[in-house]
Amino acid sequence: MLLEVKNLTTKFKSKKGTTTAVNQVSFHVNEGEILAIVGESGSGKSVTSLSIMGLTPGEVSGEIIFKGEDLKQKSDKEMQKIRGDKISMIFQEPMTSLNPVHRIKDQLMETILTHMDMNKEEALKRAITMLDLVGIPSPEKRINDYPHQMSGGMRQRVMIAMALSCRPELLIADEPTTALDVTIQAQIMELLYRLRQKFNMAVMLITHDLGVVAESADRVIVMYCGRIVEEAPVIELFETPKHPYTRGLLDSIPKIDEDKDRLFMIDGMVPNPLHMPKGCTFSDRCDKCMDICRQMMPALVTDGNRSVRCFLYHNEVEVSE
Amino acid sequence: MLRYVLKRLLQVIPVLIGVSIIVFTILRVFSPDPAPVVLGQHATAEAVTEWRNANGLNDPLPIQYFNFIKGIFTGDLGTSYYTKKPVLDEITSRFPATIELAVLATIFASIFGILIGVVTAVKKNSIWDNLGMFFALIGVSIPIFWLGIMLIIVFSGTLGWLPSGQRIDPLLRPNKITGLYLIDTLLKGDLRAFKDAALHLVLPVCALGMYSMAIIARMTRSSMLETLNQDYIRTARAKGVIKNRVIIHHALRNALIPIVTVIGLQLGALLGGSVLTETVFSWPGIGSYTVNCILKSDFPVVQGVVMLIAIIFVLMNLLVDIIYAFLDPRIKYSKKEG
Repeated sequence: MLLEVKNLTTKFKSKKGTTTAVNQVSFHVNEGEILAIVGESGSGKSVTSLSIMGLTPGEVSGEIIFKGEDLKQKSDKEMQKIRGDKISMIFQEPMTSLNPVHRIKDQLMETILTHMDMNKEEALKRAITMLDLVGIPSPEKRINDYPHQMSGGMRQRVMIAMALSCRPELLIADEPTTALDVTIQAQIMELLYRLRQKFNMAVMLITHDLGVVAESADRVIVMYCGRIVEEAPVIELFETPKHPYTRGLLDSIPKIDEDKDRLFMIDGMVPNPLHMPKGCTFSDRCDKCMDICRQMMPALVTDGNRSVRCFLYHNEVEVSE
Repeated sequence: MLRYVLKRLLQVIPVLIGVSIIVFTILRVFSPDPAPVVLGQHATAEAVTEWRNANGLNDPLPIQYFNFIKGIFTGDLGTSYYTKKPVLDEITSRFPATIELAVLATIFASIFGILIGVVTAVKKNSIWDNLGMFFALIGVSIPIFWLGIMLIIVFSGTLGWLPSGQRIDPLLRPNKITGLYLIDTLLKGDLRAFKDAALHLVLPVCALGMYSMAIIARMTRSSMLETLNQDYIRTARAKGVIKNRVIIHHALRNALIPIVTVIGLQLGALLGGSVLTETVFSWPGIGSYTVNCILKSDFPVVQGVVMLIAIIFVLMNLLVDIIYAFLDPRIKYSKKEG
């Protein structure tokens, strides 16, 4: 097991009250696998990844065990050594994720020089190799470009090159294709998939795009309102989704062979984090909602390689903190 | 880039023509006749007419304006009504004192202003933020002359640490090379005079730089707060870059553009001479001298100084624009790269 997250809870304090963005989340990532974390905006998936990196301003509790060591116990300096080296991250917004005033060269070399024992010449060479690897044409020329001279897809490739330049063991990809158009999305996913195999690294793929998940992930975690509601191997999740929310998500994908006037959608909205419904957080929007769902929060119960948080399958209630 | 600079220099011309017309009109049309001021209120009518003829004040206004403009191009800005010395000499003898004071005050203001701005932004809502911003608030609100007087009373009077007036001990005054005493004394290798000139600068620089420092600190803070929230800062941290490098290399570098604008404008304003500081510290600069000349209706001097200040201001703005291109590669002034 490469990464094991136990009872991760991240809270943000504001004047209006405390918001729990991630609530008692536990999961693991095996070496070399692609774990997808799925959920709509505000489900806590991005905060989960930033918490692992130690980059959230929120209050983080729980354990984050990476290769047997708890990252939560690490000092700032120790975390700096891990970030970008052992664990890397790429982000949703390639247009704004690169520093506009520095050349691609400097930004790539910065990562390499921070973590690897290399002189500038070697670092430059490696940077060019990395650009070549992510499919940027004439990398020795483009490396002198500034970010604004590149397209969104190119910039995401540069971000990937930067993230992978120190051969991390875990790549956290936070919605890497969301801001790109569809053809570029496919190229970027294909690239990530290929590099994953080449470097044998694990990928935590955070997305709301189930199409992307189906194509690339090994296992899937579905999050809703800061909690994991279902976890399953990818094929089983798509064939027999258990949680009503997962089913809703799958049903809302338009299918090309279906003749429908209206697309399916899950009724209602994600609840305001400051005013969560009593009981199951999904109860307000659930078509299978029962009386108990409005009273109590179901626990996440594991059965074999599948876990689900729903009273349709068991009667276990979550013990609140 | 060169094309851009040339184009901008051409654009300076109409600005300066405008300034020249305005200053000329104010002096010749709206100001009282200088003759009684210069010759005294009991001067005879003949003496006044003779004096006006001698100084070209009886010529038609367009001719007077033409002579004024011609003078600018030939380097002859006329002679002071009082000292009878060429205006150019009057300006060049005083301007170095102003340059020295203004440049040092701006450096002082930039260093401490940026430092305070960065610290308050990084430690937002902490005690340091509150302290820094309180200090900046005092800086923008405090009257310069009052601050100058207080500095003199405390550091020169009570504590006796620093001199309070003039640029240097008269016995140590260096021969004029650049007119900037710090440089002239160093060129001569006279360290004692250098130290004396530097000590004379401390209080006026602090007094004059305080306001600019406060402005720069506030601008730096808001600009830094904005950049610190940008995605590329998160990227830099995710790369494992150490904190201070993230702040300086990634955040401050991006935050500099508005800060440079403010610094440029402040320097331009200070180079115009600070009347209050120069008066309080009896600093022989251009500011207090000009105000004196305005009060005495010394037209040629006022015209010359105003034109000089206008040119400096316009050039400062151009300089700031050029610095932009170095700070932000997205700004390109040539048409080719759009």
